[in-house]
Amino acid sequence: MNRRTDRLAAWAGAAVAVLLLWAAYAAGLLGYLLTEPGEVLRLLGQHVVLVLTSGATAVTLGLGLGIAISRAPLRRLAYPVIAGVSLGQTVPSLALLALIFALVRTIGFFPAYLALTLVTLLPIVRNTYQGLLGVDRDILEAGRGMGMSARQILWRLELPNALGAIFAGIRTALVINVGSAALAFLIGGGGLGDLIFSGIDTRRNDILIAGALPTVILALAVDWLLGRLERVVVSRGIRADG
Amino acid sequence: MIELSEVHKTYPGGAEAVRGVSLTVPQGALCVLIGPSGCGKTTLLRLINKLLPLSGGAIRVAGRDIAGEDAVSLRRRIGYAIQQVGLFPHMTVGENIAVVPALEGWERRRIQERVAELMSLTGLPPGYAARYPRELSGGEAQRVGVARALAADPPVMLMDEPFGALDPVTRERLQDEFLAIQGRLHKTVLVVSHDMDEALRMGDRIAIMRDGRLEQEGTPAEILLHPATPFVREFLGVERAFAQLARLPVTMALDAKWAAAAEPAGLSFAGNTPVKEALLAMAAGNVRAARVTGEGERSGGVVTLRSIAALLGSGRKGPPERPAAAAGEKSAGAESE
Repeated sequence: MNRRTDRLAAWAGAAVAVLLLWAAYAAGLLGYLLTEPGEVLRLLGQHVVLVLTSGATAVTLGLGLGIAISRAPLRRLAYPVIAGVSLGQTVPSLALLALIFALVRTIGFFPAYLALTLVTLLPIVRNTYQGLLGVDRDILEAGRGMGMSARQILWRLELPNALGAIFAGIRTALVINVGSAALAFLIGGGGLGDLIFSGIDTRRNDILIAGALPTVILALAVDWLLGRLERVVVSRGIRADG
Repeated sequence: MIELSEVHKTYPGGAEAVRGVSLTVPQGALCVLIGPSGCGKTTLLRLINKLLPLSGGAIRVAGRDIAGEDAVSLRRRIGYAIQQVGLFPHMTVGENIAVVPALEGWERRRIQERVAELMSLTGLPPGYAARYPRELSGGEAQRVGVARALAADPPVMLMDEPFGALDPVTRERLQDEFLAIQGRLHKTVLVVSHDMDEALRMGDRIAIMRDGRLEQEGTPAEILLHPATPFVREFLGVERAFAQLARLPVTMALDAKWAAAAEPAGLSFAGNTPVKEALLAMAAGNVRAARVTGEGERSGGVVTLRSIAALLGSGRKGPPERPAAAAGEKSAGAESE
């Protein structure tokens, strides 16, 4: 059932997308995209760099934090850490940008990178932590009784079994990251936000679309790639669609 | 061999789970540790592989005091199976069985051979190696659990209600299969159970616990015939009556009041006939007494409904104990004259 409905949805989505693209083209909304592809590509490159750097940092940091606060000696830190990290997400991204800007007092790539990392951190930390805690206690008991060390239990039992939850967190986080990276332009961080905001300011919808369309495609691509990766990395024994 | 001497366990907070248990499981014997829930039997098991720290006393496994041993290396030498099975869901059946050999750093080829060997030993089709635990039935999962516990050929095995979560038919079959495996491998096994039937079926020895203390330890026949305390008698309960009927030979139910001269005509049983079969035949023939022939006149006599009832009613009023007929073949129960 899964496979067939998935494929059907994909075809339906593609059909709608083609229809919308055609409508946009007919309405002259693709003008900038078609006349200035070089500029769009340059900004897309900046966007991708922002996403990759802040995403990589957030994944590394988030996994580390999530694992750390799930260990028995540090578990009492779990609540404050998660509460602290969720500030990064509950504060509107724009306000966070302003805050970071006020703190580091420079503009450009660095404050944007910092703000994006913070925005992306929460779902990863939370899902890693909850995923690890959600692993069946009987499994860990069996592993301990068979002579696994604490480290072996983490790497061979806990992480592989929490991987589904962790991946869900990373996917959510990175999709949010792609969208939020459009705001980086506001503090000189570049990216596709440049086109979006310029388009709004100059009432040039074709410029706006030239920024928004690649952003949407990038978000979908990131989600799809991570979905593929998940199928490779997460064991068939625990996948929902296995 | 597992030796416990004066073992105590007090949990943080003061609850005394085990209060001075001394127990020896001889080399190659299967001992069933049994008692009502909360009696401390699982705690005792977990003390042996250092899943819980000892509060007092000493435990020796294969001659070595566990106090001085590294917990991880100790556990690698002890097979461990639990009721919830605890198969690792992200690993295939083959990978699950291979866990301890892999931890021990065996070569890949040796691991593969061992996995295949264990799968055939536990009655798992070879094709199952690539399956995942969620694709198994309860009985199959339990077989994998047993295979996994046996993987590195540990001399000692600890099993916590290994067949607990199964339907009665599957449970009996797995019990029998495990006994067959045990008959070949002669591991030193301690099984925790709450099921008296399982204890009588599987145990070379049975240890009965209550409130953290050992009430009685002995062979199944010793415990059936001579319950040491009222608690043991009560715990054996109805089970005891049925187990006696099924396991004790009819020579143990002879009626002392009948002289051999006054033998009733009609039914006659071989001396090693289980009491159960004698009783069924007597009920079918509607007789109250039957002759028992022994090897040599001494063990022969007369069995009556009253003497069977006396055997069931009390462990002490029965006739003097004789060695439980050692596994004689089940010859035809009743023979008409």
